[in-house]
Amino acid sequence: MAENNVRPIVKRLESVAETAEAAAKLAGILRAGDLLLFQGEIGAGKTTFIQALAKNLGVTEPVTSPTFVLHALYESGRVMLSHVDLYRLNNDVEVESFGFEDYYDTAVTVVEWADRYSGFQAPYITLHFAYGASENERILTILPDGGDWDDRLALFRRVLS
Amino acid sequence: MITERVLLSIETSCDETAAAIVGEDFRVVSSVVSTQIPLHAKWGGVIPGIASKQHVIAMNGVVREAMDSAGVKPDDLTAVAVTIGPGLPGSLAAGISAAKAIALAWSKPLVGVNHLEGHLFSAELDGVRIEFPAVYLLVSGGHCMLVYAPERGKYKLLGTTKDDSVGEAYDKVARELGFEYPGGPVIDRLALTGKESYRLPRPMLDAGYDFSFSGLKSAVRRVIDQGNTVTEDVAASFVAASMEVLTTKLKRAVEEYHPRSAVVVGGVSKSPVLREQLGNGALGETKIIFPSLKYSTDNAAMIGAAGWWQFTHNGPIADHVGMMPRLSLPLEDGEAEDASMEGFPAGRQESGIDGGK
Repeated sequence: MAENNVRPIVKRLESVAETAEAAAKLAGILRAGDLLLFQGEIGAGKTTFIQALAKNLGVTEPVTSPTFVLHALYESGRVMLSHVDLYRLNNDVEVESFGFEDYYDTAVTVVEWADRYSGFQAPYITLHFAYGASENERILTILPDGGDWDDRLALFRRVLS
Repeated sequence: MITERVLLSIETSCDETAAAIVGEDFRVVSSVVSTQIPLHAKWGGVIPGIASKQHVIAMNGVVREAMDSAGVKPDDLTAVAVTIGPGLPGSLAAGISAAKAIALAWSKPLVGVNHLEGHLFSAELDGVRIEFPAVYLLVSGGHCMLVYAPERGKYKLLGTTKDDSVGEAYDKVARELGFEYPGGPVIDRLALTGKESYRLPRPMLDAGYDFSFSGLKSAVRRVIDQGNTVTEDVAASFVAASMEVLTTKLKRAVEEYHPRSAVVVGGVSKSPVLREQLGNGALGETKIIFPSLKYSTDNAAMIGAAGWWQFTHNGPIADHVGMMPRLSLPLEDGEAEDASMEGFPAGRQESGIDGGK
């Protein structure tokens, strides 16, 4: 869980374009070894955000929902992107058998439905998506936990606001 | 005693352990499918580690039953065919290891089959023949694509999903409505008694051949959030929206390419709504073909048919070929995958997770 005194970044995203823009900015500060945990209901914007993130990491392959395949690896960007989806899992049983931890050090790992697994260890950032008032509005809350994430997100916090 | 040439095929790309004996003319001599769905329903879906272990446990029994019920002995086999991708890495590895061992022990050539191509051949089992050119709509839990085939075995990708597959949207909507995995059949059943009373979007309806089901999924969620929803009506509205997207795109492809056949394959091709909407001359001169219901979902018989095709046209695979979890269809016509036609294995290796891992 988050350390004390860490202020979450809360950003209202009013359109798909704004979601993509925020993802593009975040992509700029990412590096191999980063772990990003995504939460939020279905259709709240997780995959949309990750697609934009991938594009801005230089990934040229089409990025689609990995719900069915559970794990996809993209190697065409400036850093490898490891895309994990825990939607089909209900608890910690056998999550480790997946093998996506193998890429923790060498890739940016993004995990959809991260709340289905309790074994993630900091440092990481949690990105939570919630529906807003209007059809395309989403509320994104980013919470850093551990490592140098708070410092690294400081710049991101400024450009977003 | 069997007189025709037959091969043994093995499929383990996801959660079915399957083996079949298939004749050169795609006649299914036997087809055995051991499903893990009841097991995975307990966990709400496929768990990779459990899936691969279950394949290993089920494998020998499934292969033996396929051989015995066909009355086939090892000497009768012309080849062994196996799915090499796409699929879950651990699951694929279980099937490929078994197939390699069998091929080695019985001195048979080993044929690698692309699971997607297997689905395309599923409509040609037991005497049905697709007339080419054809347009395929492959719709399942993991895939959603429109493919044009000027002749058998030559493919041009017309469109694919930009986010979720239609089967995935079915499963997620079912879960939002409180039903267990796999939810697709439940949604179809509920839809039969429901009314299309909620207005849902038809994402990318007017945009070419690509698909998107993420927005539809969000819209269903918003309807449910409003409360007081009638479950059957939500299902009916969702099915109406997704089927309109599928049929509109298929009809568009038929109008542009004038194929002799339109072939709908994959788990979602079981949908009674889809079969009804595309029945009775819905596509004019173009003949609509669905696989038997038992060959819509994953099975080894379709791998056997595609295996015969690969064996005849490309021959066996090399010893070092391993699994290819993110294999795509071997495409033509200046697509990026062009080089993949140079020989087997068909399709490109997109991922670094390969046989060497």
